[in-house]
Amino acid sequence: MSERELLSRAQHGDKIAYGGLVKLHQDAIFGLVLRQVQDRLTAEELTQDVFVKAFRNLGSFRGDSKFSTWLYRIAVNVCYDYRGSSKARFKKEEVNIEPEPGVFLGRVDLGRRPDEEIATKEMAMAFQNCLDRLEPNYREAFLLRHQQGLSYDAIAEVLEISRSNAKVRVHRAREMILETMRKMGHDV
Amino acid sequence: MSKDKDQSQNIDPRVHLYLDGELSSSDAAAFEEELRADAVLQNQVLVLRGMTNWSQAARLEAPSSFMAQVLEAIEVDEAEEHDAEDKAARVETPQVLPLHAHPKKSGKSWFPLWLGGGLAAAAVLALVLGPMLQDRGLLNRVETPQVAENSQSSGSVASSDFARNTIRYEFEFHAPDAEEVCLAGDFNQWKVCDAKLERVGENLWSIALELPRGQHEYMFVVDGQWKTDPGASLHRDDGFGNKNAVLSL
Repeated sequence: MSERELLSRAQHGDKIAYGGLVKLHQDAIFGLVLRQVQDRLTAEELTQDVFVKAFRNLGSFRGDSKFSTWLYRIAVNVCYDYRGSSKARFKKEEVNIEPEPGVFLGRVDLGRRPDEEIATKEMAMAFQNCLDRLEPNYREAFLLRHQQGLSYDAIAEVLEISRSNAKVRVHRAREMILETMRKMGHDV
Repeated sequence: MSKDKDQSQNIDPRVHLYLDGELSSSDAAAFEEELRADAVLQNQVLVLRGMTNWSQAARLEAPSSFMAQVLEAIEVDEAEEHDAEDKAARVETPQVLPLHAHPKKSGKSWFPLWLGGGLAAAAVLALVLGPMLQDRGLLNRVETPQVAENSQSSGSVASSDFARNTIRYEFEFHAPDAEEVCLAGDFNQWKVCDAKLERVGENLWSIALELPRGQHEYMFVVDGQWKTDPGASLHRDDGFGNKNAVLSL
């Protein structure tokens, strides 16, 4: 069944169809939330909130944007509310920052030496550090662009800002990441 | 100056273009050639690409039971909402609302609570004792409040319909320059112009609807633009940046 059909059925109260929509989008939303709150259990709770909230408001989804864009917007708002809550202030950051094999080097990978495994682990920790230090506005823009692969137009729609502002936020996030890396002694 | 203004220039602008895939293939090839000769530039791209890959790591998958958890949470959410509605319905008294009671001004406030409570008790007693008393010829019959036949045009009263558990309610919205004002809510599946308001004054638009008792969320649609009722006593985030007004009947 297509996403459109699932959506139509879910809007008429079909929870099984809604389950199909959850399945389609749960990893993307979970990933976005997890990288923002840095705690797996909290991310699960918040992602669940996103989908419950989405179901509750499904009738008001008017199809002006993609369903995923609408979900991203809910997720961004849920994370925003969470950051303002007392729960967030007392939550210990406890994300596991083990590197993913082969994750670090991209298209310009020059080949990995055996000792690079350690370096990669260090890089994963450094990335975590960089992400933590980004202001939420820049972090969500960076994640929407690089983690979720959204276009600048889509980011603008999710964050309800102009396209140029979306672009500036992503660029600024990159700058901040490199600044943080420099402060940590990396030659970038 | 906007907070978002791009202030830092400590990165080669081509890095952004390269990462965004906005360089032509020949420019990208030339840039990659340059990367090989410039360690710092190369590191910049490596770090940003690495961070992209890291942020997409496979282990960011939601747990396998996640969908079931969400559906269960929805059931709980709905049950809580129904409980709240039931509770509200139990507390509410049978009442007659003035036609022009604006939701934001709480159409019930004109009705003294103690009197409402008394009427509620009386209504319950009447329902229980009525048939008994009728049987014994002590009471003719128990009247229920009548719904005004053409209450909209008469401008007198609207009413609860006890049998169907509904309340006729009038919504009003100030929109001086509007061409069209509609009401969309959960009661009409958020259809954009299913319920058009009538202009009842220079700036005032109005519509009366018969709604089931319970809680309803709604927004006005003014010339195609979604507008929150600013004076509603309760608002609820609609999940994507707007606020629905919440009306409890």
